[in-house]
Amino acid sequence: MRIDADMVGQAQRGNRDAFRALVEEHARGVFRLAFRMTGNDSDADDMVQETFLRAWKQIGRFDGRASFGTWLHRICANCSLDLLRARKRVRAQVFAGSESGVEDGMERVAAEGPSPERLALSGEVGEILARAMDGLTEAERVAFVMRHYEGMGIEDIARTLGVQPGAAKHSVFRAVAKLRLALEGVAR
Amino acid sequence: MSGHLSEQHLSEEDLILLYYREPEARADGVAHLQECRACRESAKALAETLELCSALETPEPSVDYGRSTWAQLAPLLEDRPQRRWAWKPVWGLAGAFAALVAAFLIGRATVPSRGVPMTAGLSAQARQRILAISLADHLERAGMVLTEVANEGDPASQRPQAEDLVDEGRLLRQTLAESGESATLEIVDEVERVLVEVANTPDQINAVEVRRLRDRIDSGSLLFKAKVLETNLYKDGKTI
Ligand SMILES: [Zn+2]
Repeated sequence: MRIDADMVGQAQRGNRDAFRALVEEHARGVFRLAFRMTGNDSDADDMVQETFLRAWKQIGRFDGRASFGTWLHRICANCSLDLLRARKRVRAQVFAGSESGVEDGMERVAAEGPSPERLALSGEVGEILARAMDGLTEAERVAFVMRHYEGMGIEDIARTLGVQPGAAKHSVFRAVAKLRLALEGVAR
Repeated sequence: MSGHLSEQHLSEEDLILLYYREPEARADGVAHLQECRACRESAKALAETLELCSALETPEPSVDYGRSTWAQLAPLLEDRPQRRWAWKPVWGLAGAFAALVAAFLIGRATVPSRGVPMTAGLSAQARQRILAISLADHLERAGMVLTEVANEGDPASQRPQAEDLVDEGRLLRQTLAESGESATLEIVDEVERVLVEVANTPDQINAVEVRRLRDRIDSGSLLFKAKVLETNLYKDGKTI
């Protein structure tokens, strides 16, 4: 986009107003992606903040080969991957805690009911799908969201995730296989 | 079956690549689908599932989401882009202030890494429990670092652990601030400030500076307070 190109140039020279215009232009799109990655809106808000913080720091490295929006979405995918990994670590800690007898009720944490955001999704199918997405590994989830919702090619996903194309491709395959399993019976 | 039908049926993976029109999808894929009923059925079933995925709704951010995002973001941005935060020693007179600035910048400029309580989507009670246990764990490890420094250890040797802890303390403090636990936050902040100093220890540190750091750890019985808090938090984590 022409406006983006001007604004990016100015932001690269340290113009905060230009960066502000870019934030205001792209925040909603980044949020939608972040929500698909994280599955809830408070984490998605955090990812939006983190994405723009990183973008401001790294804007000098933006070379205009992809659109600015695509570049932002790649950053968001990376932030989300970090968050999903951290989330998994916390879950692991929680379970480790319960195993060593620290807390017998801890198992319930993982089995808590759906969040309000979840209930706002499209009823039962939305709920099943959201749960299935949560069941993906972080690489599977990020790869699938980028492929399916962002329309990014395998090569691009691999570059973003810093893995070989073969690995990115298999993450997508596994994600699709798991989602099909979860949605069996619903689709027809 | 007709003679020009491509020999091999399409695998699930072939179908996925075809669906997404990946360049490496099988070249004869489309032709095969036109002629093979079985593969067409499989392709249809796959497409149905994937279209269902497309229906996953995301909440629509409000029209002024961009503006409110900027409002939160603006105070956190350094003045010029691309100037990375340098790990300068924050020793000396301006140490305390610089440590605060560093804590702020580090806190805002890095992404959560270890042991962060991503508690969104859980019940309030579960959040509290996870927060309590994460905090207690954080304080326990912070206590180990500070004890090491206080007991004649070389502060520089504790630098990596201190850096990790500073990193990790960020979201914990943020969560505490949000839940209004100001008394707990005060102690965690105090611990954090000393951790930042340890994280910024220069390789060559003189005896006066080491003593000053140890005094800071001793002052206000920081270790003791941290220990009491840690114990209480573990207890809370169990009983909430
Ligand atoms: Zn076939």
